[in-house]
Amino acid sequence: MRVKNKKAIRNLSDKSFRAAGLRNGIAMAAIALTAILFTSLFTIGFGLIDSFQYMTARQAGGDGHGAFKYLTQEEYEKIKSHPLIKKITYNRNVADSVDNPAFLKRHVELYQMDEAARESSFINLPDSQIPKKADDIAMDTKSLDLLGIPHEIGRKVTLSFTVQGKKVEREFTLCGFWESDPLLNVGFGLVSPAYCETYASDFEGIDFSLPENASSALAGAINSYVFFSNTFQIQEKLNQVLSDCGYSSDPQDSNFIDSNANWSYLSSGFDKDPTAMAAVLGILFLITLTGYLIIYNIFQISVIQDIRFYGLLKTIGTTRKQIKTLIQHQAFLLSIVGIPIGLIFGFLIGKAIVPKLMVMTSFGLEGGKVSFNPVIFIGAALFTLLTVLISVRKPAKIAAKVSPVEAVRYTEGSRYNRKRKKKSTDGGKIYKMAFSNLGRNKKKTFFVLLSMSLSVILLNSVLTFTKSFDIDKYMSNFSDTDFLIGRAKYFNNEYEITDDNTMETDDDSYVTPSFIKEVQKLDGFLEGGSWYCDCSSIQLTNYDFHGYEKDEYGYKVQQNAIENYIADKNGNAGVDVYGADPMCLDGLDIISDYSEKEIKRMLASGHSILEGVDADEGGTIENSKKMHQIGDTVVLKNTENGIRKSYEVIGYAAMKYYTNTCRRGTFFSYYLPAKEFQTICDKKKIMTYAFNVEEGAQKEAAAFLKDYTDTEEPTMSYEAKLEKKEEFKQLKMIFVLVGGSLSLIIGLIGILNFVNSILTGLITRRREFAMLESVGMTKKQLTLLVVSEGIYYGVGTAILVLTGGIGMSIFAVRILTKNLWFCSYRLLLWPLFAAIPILLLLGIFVPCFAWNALSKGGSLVERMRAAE
Amino acid sequence: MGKILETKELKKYYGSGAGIVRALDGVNLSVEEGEFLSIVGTSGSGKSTLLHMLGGLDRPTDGKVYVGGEDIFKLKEDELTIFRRRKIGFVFQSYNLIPVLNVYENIMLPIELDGGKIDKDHVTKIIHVLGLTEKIYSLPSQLSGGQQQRVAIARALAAKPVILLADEPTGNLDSKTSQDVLGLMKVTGEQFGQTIVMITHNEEIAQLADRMIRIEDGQIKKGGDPA
Repeated sequence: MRVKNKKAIRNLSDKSFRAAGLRNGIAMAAIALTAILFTSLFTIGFGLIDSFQYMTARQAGGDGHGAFKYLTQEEYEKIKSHPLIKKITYNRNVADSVDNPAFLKRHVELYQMDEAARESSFINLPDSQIPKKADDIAMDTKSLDLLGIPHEIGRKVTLSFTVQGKKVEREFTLCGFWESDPLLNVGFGLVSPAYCETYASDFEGIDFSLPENASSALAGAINSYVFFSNTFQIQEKLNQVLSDCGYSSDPQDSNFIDSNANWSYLSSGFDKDPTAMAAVLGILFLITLTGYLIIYNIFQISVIQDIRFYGLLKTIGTTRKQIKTLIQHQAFLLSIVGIPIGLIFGFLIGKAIVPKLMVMTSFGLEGGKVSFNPVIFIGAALFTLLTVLISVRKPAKIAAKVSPVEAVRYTEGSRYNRKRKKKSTDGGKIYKMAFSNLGRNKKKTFFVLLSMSLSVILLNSVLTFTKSFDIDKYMSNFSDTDFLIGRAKYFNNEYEITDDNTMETDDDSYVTPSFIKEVQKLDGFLEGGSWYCDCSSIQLTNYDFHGYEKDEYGYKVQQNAIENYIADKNGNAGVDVYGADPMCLDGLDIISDYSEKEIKRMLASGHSILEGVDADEGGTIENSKKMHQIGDTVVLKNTENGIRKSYEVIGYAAMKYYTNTCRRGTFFSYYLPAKEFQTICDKKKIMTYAFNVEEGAQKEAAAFLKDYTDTEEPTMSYEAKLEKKEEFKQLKMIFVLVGGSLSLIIGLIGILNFVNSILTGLITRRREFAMLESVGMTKKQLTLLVVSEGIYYGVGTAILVLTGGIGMSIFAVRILTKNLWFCSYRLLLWPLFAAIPILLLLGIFVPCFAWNALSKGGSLVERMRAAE
Repeated sequence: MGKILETKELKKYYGSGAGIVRALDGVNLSVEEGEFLSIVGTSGSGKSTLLHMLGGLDRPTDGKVYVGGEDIFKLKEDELTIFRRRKIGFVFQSYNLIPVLNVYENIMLPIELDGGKIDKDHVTKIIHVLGLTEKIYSLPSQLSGGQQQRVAIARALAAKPVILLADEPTGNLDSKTSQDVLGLMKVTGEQFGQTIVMITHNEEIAQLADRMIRIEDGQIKKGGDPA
């Protein structure tokens, strides 16, 4: 038979709930803090993902989930009404390239865009400024500035550009403009549909539906960004759309259409990144554990405190289940108040931190955005509630299990000591008594120690991690030298690429001797060297490529990729050849069977060569990318002047993208001394000039370079180590900030836990203290007892902090840093030691204040009776 | 034998005006050195309040308490505490042992707190007389009620107090154990020449004392002075 007792239980729960004011306050604070942790984590997490997506989308030029490329009008019409697609943009290329000299350092593209396309490219134009007439053009402000045209509607804009290989020059009238995106070094010009009709003949030369033309960014091609209902499995959806419309996603097919997912949507790859998932799960677990530690502790203490009450309830016939319900109901009430408080504060904290994080990343400038995503709140609330429910399970069980008779005699710790005798005679000494008191409930003591030490251990791990960020390792990936100068084209990855996309060499890829001379005159100039590169005229000839196809050396080379690089059936392939001045040569990382001295001698002899192999971010050569074996003979031929020379491969040189490559990949790269380079290649082909200056002269040199490349030789540009160093520092700061704030909140929880257990410890022992006073313990001695207990907590925490902190550092952080290329593990101990005095002070002052607050009021006799 | 304990017009009032409660209303009492005195009274008669005053646990509204000729309420709070641990031994109904200390440590606690030298022979003798030799390393939770009360008595005697005050020492014990414990207390008292003041509501127990006084409504009704 079911008894209608819900109301009675609820009533009882509410009444006893109200009686426990102090506990409620602390428990509520704990629940709120847990909710803060979850909410701020989720807010920061979502905020960062959103912001990164937004920013990378802006950098990529659009926020579509995916893109179809090089469509014809017919293909576009067919695809646009597919049911999977929620929104599709229309961007029509109207120029292969815009060639005004003013745009040397800024890539400008000319489009016809519909409204959806403008929106997804972050271009805001009022209706009146949208291009309508055939000669209308709208442009971004920075591009206008470069042209020297004021931001005024009606101004004439003359652009010279290429359409399907033809050079044209046309005059437009400015009909609108918008603020340039500072993150994006790409300018846009927008023309009207009327323009496309007028110049329709521009686009008729190439049939984009043919597969061989399906990958050229030429005038006339339509690119469409598409949006789906969500960002999961974007590439799969793109393929689905294609096959449903009768097209193929396979480049071999005649009806192939190129498509790709937007790389800025993390979720399209996030589910496949186990490390990121593990990190997120790890943090979730850590927060749950922290929350659990304190909430569990609070309920455990309060249940023990009220154990007679529960015994009484049982005596009068309350069942186990009812008592459990009663406690869970109280926890639930506390959550109803605590969680919303935590959600609000957590969101505010997250909102405050995200823009700071974004400013510090290399994206710079613009703040991040924090969306008011309901998932944050629902998720955080659920996780907090889950933590609370897990936490009260055990205490509820204790309360439910207590026998009515035992409850009356129940004192903390009495259960633990029943079997063992205590063979000592000096336990009456105050400091020993204090120590014994900690052992009353060993589990509780341990949890308090654990929750206090957790934050210090975490903070130390974060600091150790960031301390292990190795600036030298990081920098060596980006630059070997203080400065690297080159053409703006080089830094735009266009070395030896001419405007009309043919691979003909042009002189404006090379560093001018005048610039190098100026640099060498700099105050504090130490040493410098040129990197030469020829990536347009050298062929590897008479080489047997069959081995690669068969993969018999274990080389992982795709057959079609090799074929793409074989210029003719005789086995000739285009290769990159680099020449290095002595300083540059010394800086190369070489793997070889020969000694350094031998290599130098052999290279100087003019019969030896190093193969360039891509290195990973840590500078380690990737073995799978080696094309030759040491001892192989290669014959190089200059197609321009017919010079032919044969070399023996004597080693591998690490190709580091930012320091010694032309920043475009090929399968075959070789390194020679500059002298030897000049015997087969044109000596004017200086790719970059790397140099160092004296310590302290970097800032001035950077200022000179900035000024010189702006005014004297505007086609030149540079990269400075100094700027990369800044980026590195900012990266470090992010970790310190996030880890630090997490540690701070966990630290607060730990302290709260400590205060709670000290307070309840004092309250439950009020009578015991009165009794001690009755047998002659002075107030001073009692204070000493209480403070000693606090000091033991401090010492215990310190021990845990030291062992746990060092263990965590050695076992977890060291392994983590091992896997990150820019880290070298360094043991860091001072935060652990610095925490010890703080812990001891807490151990002294918390009990001291608590005792002072509690010992007032009530005569000794009253206190002795109080608990009875 | 001289007077070791004396009260003069001892009063303790709670509240004020019409609701005033006179827990003690002018008590004059004196106890001889080495005497075993029992105070009987019903609950609410004021006997516990009187005992608290005698031991300096609570301050009177008016009147004086002399222990060994010294007016104890002239002492400051901490002085009173120190006086208590040197001159007074307490035995409570609920034993009041410290759960984390073993029997020996509980007994030694008042001496330890005083930082005083330990008279080992004396303590060993007490432990022996009270039959606790086998139990000195046990924790309170491992002892029966009677054993715990014997430990409490030993603790009260260890510091060689001037007076032993016992507040319903057998209140939580069955009658057989009560007889045993009380018998031990009496024997010990005689052996060490200890002055004992015990309050109880049980006349049968009270009869074991050298002298019995009765208290009603805060006033002594019978036997205020030694016979």
